[in-house]
Amino acid sequence: MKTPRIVRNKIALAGLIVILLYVLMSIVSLFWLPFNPVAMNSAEVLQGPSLASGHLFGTDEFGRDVLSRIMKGTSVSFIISVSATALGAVIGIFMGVWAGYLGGKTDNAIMRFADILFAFPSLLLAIFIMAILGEHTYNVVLAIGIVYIPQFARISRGSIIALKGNEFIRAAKSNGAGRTYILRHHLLPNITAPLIVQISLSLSTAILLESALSFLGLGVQPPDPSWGNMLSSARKVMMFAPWTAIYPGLAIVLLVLGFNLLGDGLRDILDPRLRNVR
Amino acid sequence: MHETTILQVEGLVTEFKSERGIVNAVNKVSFDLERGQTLGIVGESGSGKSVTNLSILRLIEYPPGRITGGKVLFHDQDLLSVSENEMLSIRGKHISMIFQDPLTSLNPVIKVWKQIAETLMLHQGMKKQEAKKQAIELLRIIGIPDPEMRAECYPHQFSGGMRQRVMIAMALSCNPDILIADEPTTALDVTIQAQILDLIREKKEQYQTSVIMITHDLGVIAEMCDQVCVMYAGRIVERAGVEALFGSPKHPYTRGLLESIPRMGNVGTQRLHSIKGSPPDLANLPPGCPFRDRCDKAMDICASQLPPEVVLQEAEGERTVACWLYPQEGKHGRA
Amino acid sequence: MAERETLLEVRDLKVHFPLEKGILFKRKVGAVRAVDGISFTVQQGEALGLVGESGCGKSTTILAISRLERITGGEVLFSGVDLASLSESDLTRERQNFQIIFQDPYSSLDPRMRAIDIVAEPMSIFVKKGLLSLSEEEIKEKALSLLERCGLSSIYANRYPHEFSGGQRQRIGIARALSLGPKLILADEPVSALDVSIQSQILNLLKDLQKEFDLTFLFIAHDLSVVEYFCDRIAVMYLGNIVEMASSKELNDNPLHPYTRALLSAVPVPDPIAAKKRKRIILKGDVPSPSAVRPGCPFYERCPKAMPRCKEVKPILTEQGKNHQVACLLYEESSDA
Repeated sequence: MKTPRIVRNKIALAGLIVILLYVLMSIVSLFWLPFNPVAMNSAEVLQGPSLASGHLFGTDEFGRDVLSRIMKGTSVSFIISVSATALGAVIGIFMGVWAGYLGGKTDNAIMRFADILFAFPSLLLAIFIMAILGEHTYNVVLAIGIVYIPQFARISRGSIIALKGNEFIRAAKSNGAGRTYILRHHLLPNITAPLIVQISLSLSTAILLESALSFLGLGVQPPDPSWGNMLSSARKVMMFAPWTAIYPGLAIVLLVLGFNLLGDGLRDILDPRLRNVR
Repeated sequence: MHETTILQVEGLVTEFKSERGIVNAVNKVSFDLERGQTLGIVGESGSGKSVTNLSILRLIEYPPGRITGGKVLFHDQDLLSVSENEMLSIRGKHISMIFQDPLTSLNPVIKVWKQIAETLMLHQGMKKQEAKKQAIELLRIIGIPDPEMRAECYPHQFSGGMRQRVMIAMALSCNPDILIADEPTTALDVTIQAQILDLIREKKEQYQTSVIMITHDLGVIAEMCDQVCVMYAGRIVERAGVEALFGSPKHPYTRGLLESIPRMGNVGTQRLHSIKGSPPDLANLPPGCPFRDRCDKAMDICASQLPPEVVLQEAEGERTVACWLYPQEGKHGRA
Repeated sequence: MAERETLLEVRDLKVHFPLEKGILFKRKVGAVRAVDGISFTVQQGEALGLVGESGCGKSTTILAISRLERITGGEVLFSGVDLASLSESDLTRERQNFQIIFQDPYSSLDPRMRAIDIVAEPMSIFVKKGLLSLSEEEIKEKALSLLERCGLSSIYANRYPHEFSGGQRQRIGIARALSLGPKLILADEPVSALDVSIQSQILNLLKDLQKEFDLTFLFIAHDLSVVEYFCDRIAVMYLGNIVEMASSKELNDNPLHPYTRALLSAVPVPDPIAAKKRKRIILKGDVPSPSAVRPGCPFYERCPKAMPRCKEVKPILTEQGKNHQVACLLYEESSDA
């Protein structure tokens, strides 16, 4: 058995390690946190990071431990980003693939619907949906998921249309292969590359979108911590207590980076053309 | 260098950097082009025939490509050492080129006459109106019907054959000394190919242009050329007059190539001769002759040493062959 | 050649593509008559060549015969069964009898499948549909032996298409076409994307396979010398019509239709001495659009021998000597007289 390809691909490996560290952090946070992330402590308001006090990343304006809140926020951010991307990807890819494959009226109907969604800037659309649905963590997932649908639909439709003209599709048809067979065996495997890139981008922008929504007060509601609402409340004090903004920001940046690296690496790994060059 | 030699290529080397190492796409290529002559360069894909000609005009993208050796002498100056500015006035004016795909070599959003007129304005300093008139005249000369109206069209409104005519019009607009035609008819149908080849032949006579014709089609070579270079894996393996080359090919590759084409009127009863295997990987060429694995006459020496170009003096003229079957009969050529 | 059983008979085949206008509500504004009523037969064991320039309808003909393109009219009789009117499931069963070799060795193989899986795919599909009973092992074995028969050693079997050269890829495509044991091979320009030295290897392979498996070929190419070499008979197409059909030798020695003559004379001959002596017929103009409705001869505009009558009367294929048919008024008149 050779070493798995993901280990040999350094970019993917780096991304994977970063993501695994976050997963580990969110699991740990379920059982143990350095401090209670929601308990206010007026004696320790806005303490700078220090080893002595045990507040490695300092405390916020209510005296809550920033590290504990980041750790607690990890699972929230993770769940939102993964489920919103999954929602958008499943529906969007399904729509796009059929639109591209069937063409004609189906294509027209599906893509016009996607165009309507696409017409709004993603954040505006998410805000709009949140305003209708009300403020709740599930609704954040729904809102971000809906924003993603047209993006996935477009990409998968385009890739399918480009693929459809290939002679190997004709070859399969000439051997009696049906629609679903061709879809499963020839079309879907060949559009994984652009989709993986899109998924990794979506996972990271979901975190940013969630942060933005929470920042605007539409996402995860205080006192529950999310990286977004941590940044949001840090806004008022970050001039003289920068750690309240830096560390949640860093947490976002690193995870986004991790997703992007993994996505890039996976795309290369899954493409036989980029594998073991002769 | 003869009196009549207009272009002399000597020891040209062009290499490309690839993931798998340095690829010598053109490897010590030498040939002369005589005034008024049509020189054919024939070879299969990857043989370096196009790169040779792009190198002459210094149109190699860097990176990944680079010309690393040799000389290209045109009117006593080495094109490889003149400044880029001087090169600009040579391209299109003294040496012009037509490509395989006329659609991608024309700008899709500019009217046809403007594209021709641009060259005229640039190289001959014509005013716009004068250039337009001349462009329409050129379209008429190359056989575009109704040139006044057609001049106002965009390239996509032309058929493949007409686009290639426009390319030829542009290439001839400044009366160049040399026309390089890179697979000019490969994308075209046979009857249209015949039209275009006829046009090139006619204009060549009319303007006394020297032509370098790059093609994979031995038929086109036989119909158009006076001299032929056969390229294989970045080298010229044989160079001779067209009748000598087709009449008695000397290099085993040339011979194999000629024997492997189905001939008209030769209804297939016998098997075609074929060259075994496929062209070598240029990124890791083994020592010795690059053709030896496919050669049915390979000897021990072929595996270890690269055959030098040997000049053979024949009744029809000079011939060079790079093959150990012809050991130093004449004097050494340019290795 | 002894008369043999007719394997494929095409009768008045028509393939028209509707031309539509409008974005949301499309309406038909005309039709591209890609194939406009052609008829021919292919005997068991022979190779019939279809030649013509791009847009003449030769590829569409193959796609229509294999029902990959919708047939507008006519019949495609394969061993007496009309493929044009078969239901989808009956058609699938018939598909094992005719297989296509595609032109482009790059786009005809799925880049994500290994060579062996590509060759095995038709068998797998047929097994899944219950039309063939082979075990996984047997399929694999057969695919391997086909690859080897087509000149690819089994050490290459697990490689992906991009690891092969154009010629090797075409060998994979050929092995795939053979995997269901077809009687008829529809070859769509199988060598035109290949280099000269590789082209002859593939042509030789196809010839050998034809003998070995008793294959019948419908062979498409734009290169007349390739078709002449490979085929017993040739049909020349122009603008969706067959204008001349004869044995390869007869067509070369005695071409009748002005288009065939121009086509033959336009092919560059790899012989400089003959080339200089030869008289070329250079046709004027381009092939007209196949969407225009024209009552007369499709070749009328470019024909050096056009007569006024050619503009009105569309000539039909008529017998001119043994096994030689031509659709041209020049000959209809002489036979009337």
